[in-house]
Amino acid sequence: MRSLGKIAITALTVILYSTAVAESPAELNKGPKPNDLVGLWMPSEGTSYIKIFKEKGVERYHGRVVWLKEPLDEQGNPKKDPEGKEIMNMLNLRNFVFEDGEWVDGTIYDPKSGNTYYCTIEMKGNNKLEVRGSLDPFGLVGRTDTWVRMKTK
Amino acid sequence: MKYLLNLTLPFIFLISLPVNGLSQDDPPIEEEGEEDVVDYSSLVQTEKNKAFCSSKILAQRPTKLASLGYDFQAPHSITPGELGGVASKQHNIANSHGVGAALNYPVFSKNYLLVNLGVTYAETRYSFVSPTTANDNAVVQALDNKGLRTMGAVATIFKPLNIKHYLLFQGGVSLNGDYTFSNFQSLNYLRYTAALIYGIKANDRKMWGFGLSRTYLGGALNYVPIYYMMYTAKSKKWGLEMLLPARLDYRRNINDKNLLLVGYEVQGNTFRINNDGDIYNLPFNEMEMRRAELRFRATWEHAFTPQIWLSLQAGYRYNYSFKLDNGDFYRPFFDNTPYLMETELTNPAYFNISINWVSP
Repeated sequence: MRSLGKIAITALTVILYSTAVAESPAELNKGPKPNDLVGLWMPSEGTSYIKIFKEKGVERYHGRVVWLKEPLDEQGNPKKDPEGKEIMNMLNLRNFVFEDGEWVDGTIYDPKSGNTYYCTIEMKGNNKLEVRGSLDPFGLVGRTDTWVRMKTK
Repeated sequence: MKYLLNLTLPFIFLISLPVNGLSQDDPPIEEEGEEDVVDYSSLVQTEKNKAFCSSKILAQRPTKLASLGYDFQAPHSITPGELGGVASKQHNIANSHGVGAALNYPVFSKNYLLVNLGVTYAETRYSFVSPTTANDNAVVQALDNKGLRTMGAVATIFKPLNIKHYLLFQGGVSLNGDYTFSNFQSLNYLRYTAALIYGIKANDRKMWGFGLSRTYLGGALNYVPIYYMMYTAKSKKWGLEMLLPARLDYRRNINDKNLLLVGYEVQGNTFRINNDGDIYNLPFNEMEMRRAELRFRATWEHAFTPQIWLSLQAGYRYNYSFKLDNGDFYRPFFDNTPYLMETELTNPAYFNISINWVSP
């Protein structure tokens, strides 16, 4: 029984070692890079596009509303947030920094309610984001929305 | 409770303040690289992303995540019927009061599913003008000496089916009775409630639905159809919030920091009156106080910060049921099973104050 145990441990060691050796450095470095966040994204509601960009000369990312499905209100005026600011071209994502494969320390503004939340962004694959807005800086009480990348036809 | 308040409020303020201090002013930020000219109307999704409706409407009353409150009912009287040979007699109550607390935590919160778990606690202590004696009615003795308590857990699941339709489920379990923390009630007396609603979210200002509930709101167990509606007018100056027949409020949005609500709410439950050891010398050990009351009230909700809200409520408490059953059983509307004891309770004014941590 003792020798069976030894064989099992040896086999397990060999499998783990060979798995580690088999992974090339490129595979080990999988995962998002800071600028992967840059691009055009659509939140799950499908009523707006957000352009996420890198700030010039700084490792910081922001997002701007660049398209609205319904850009005008019922009176034919540009849609505004509760404070009376136009939603189109509004900066609604601010100050994200890339850390441990995620974009953190940012904020997200909801122009419908006029509320600002703490926010972290995680990339799922190449074309999906999980954007979590929260009431607390630790992300404990919040809501996660899925955004998809938009491309030209 | 005071310890709990001291512990939680500074924490809530601590984590709330940074977000409250943020503004959305737009100092210009220069983008790295050349700005591309894009025809946004020609864009397509790289992957499918199903759209789901959210669980809220614009300008509604904020969802309470944590709440600590105090409830006070002005002088009134209770006249229990004959029970166990003790004749009916009126007792004056100087006031009834008690603290209440609730926590509601979103354990899973994504656009396709929301799951909230919560716990609740509420107590009612009765201050009788003349202290009761062992010769008084058993229920009156229980109210005077121990009061009534309820504590429970509740799970709420919001499942959007698509951008227009949703399911809303709420299931709860509670322990209600004249128990104290030193003389706790057996968990055999847990009571279960549930409600399921199928709904439509017409737009950002209106959602409604209908369903069925298993409820103790009328005092005894019953199955009641329910209608749910949240509505905000185009002007965003007023709205309606209702879960009929349990509650209805007309909401006036005075500004971002102040809401005024006028309406009613039914509050009810079944409370076990403990006669273990035959302490009241009665031949029943499964006494259930079927308490239900209508509260016609006005509520002022005021934001200290976007996440910390004060709620002040005043109104009139109308007694619907304060009757005793022998055991817990299904008692539908118009059921004529005789009660073990019927009780008259006069109707006082009341007020309620609570401090709340909300999700704006």
